[in-house]
Amino acid sequence: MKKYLLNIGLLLLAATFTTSCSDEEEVDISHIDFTPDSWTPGAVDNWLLQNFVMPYNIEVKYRFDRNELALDRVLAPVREDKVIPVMETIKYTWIDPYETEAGSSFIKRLSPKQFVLVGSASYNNNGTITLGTAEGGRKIVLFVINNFAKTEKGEVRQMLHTIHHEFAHILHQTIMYPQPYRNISTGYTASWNDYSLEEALSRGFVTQYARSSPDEDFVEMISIMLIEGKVGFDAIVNSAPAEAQPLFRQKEQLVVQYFKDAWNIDFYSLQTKTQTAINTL
Amino acid sequence: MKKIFLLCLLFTAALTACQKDEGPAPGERPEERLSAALSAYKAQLISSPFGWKATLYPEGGGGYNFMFTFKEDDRVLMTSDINASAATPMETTYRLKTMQRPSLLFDTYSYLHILSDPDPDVIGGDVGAGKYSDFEFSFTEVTPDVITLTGNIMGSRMVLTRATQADAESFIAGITASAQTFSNLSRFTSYFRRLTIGTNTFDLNLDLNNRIITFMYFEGDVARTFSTSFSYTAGGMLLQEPFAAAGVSILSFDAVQYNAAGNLFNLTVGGAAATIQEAARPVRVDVQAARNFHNAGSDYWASPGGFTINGVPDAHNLRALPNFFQIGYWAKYDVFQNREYDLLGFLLLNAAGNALELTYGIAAAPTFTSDGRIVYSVLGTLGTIPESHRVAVTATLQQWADTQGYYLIRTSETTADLVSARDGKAWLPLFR
Repeated sequence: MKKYLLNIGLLLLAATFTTSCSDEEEVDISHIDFTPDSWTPGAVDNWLLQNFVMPYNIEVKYRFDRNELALDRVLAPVREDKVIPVMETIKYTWIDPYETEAGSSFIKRLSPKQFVLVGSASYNNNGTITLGTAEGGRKIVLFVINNFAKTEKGEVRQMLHTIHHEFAHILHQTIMYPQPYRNISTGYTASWNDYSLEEALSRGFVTQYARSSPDEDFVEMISIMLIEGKVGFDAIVNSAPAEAQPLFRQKEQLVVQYFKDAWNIDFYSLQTKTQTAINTL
Repeated sequence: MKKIFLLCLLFTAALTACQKDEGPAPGERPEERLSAALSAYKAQLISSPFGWKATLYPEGGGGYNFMFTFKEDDRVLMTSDINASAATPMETTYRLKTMQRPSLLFDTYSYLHILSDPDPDVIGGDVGAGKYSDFEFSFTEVTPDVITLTGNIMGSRMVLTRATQADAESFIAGITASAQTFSNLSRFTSYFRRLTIGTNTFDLNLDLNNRIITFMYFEGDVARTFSTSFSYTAGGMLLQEPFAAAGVSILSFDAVQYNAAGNLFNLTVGGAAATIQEAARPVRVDVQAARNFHNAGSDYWASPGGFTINGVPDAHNLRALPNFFQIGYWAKYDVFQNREYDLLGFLLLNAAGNALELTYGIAAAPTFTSDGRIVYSVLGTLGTIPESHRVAVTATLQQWADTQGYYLIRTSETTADLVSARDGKAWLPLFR
């Protein structure tokens, strides 16, 4: 009897173990987004879907989203009627020239995946303003969109400067540029903004910011050569002191070589196409 | 035996106790309640066929009116009295989203964003800050016909009131008309604007650009100022905070009309007839103000354009002078032949354009009259005056040396005006 009861007990115990918590419920967290960010798509949304999301998987955020931006800056959202002209310009002067030179999959594979548009500039504490920022080759934030006009070539170039700069970062982070590039100029410094453009040019840096590191130097070269075109770039080189001019030419040669070897792109042809695009906007 | 049996029961009880439980808590889940709240707010916003009247009080001051018609497709039609062109309807976007609290976001540029624009050229706000306004708001208080919103970043306040058909047709138009009426204030060429209600009189400072009104009054013998934001209404203006002194309480100016013949405004205050007129002198002079201003000394006061004369700012065209930056007023600048003197220094940009230089200035010894005026006797100039500056400097010197002297009107902690006691038609605005 004693043993019989004990067996029953054990049996019960076994049954308990196997049944008690047997239902493996999935961890039940929220199924609903706490912060839904949806709205009825309008004409702009549809245009972006057709021209950026579907072909390139690029998201363009134009409705103000505080989470994408610095919280300590006063910013104004973008004017709705500026979105399409700006993105048309970007497609026409950045995507199209690359596509014709490097094939249709090139941009799809390498482009940053998100553009965030902001209407006003971002005002910094030191009296400067920020026109564009980029994060890790994924997201590009463009400011001052509300002043955008296709006819203002200077401003179009300024905006493209940011895009070409960041895209060039993605390129060299995917395939590294030749090491000798790092040794052409000397005097890279983190406090690049303490030195004038003249000083930068005299050391073979195409912009002040190019002084900050070889990587920045490389992408600034690409960006300036593309947005200013051959004529504009030559003018910059010729404005530099004579002893610095060969440095620019060495860098130019390495950039051209890099585009050929790494991406099979004829850089001069890309440069011409970019210029034609800017001028025929 | 019995023990074992009980032990088994205990085990069984213990191990089966974790029963299946549907949901973390009774009732709806938090996110379901949140999205229900958002839907309810949106339903309320779009439920008003004639839209919503709204008044926005940016944290930076002023009051601005809007007329919103929210639509189902997350678009909003608006007009505003923010500037003359804002009476034309503009369609932009809005959306409801949970931030820290359920929020209403105006997420593409509209009239409302002019106040938040960090570009100082847009509406004259501060660089990188605008008018310290908001375009993302939390729902603070909601009744069927009134929605009170609080700005998420700056803490501005906006009140939405359900509009009637009549509002939809005339709200902004009526307000624009009264803003137009008040713009006749520029026809006053004297400094002092006197509000008379029966036997009560106050000096007013009406800052139409920033929509801030200041009352100057006395408590016993102590001079006081009271400033508050105002918004235009059809026929007048509404103060954000009521002004109360000398047994008068003022919440609004109504039925305001400009009388061109008399160059004055007729209006009603709480039903009583009143006028606003220009005046050559203050209602009552604060006899200590000028002396206190001088004795405080220390840091200089800045005047970006020198004297305003007959309502014309920068009457001596100082801003056109090469490299001119601003005038600095130094009280008790130095001592000359045992006389303490004040300096009107001309601050110029240096050659590199990155610093200010005090190149030259006008020195004058002040005396104080018993009726509260400060009178300057010019001692001469210091430093070298460039030839191209000479005409403007002489004109400034002659104005400053007016033998009738000046009243010192302290309009706030950081602003003051030196107003000609001769006729009140010339004054030097100062700030620090």
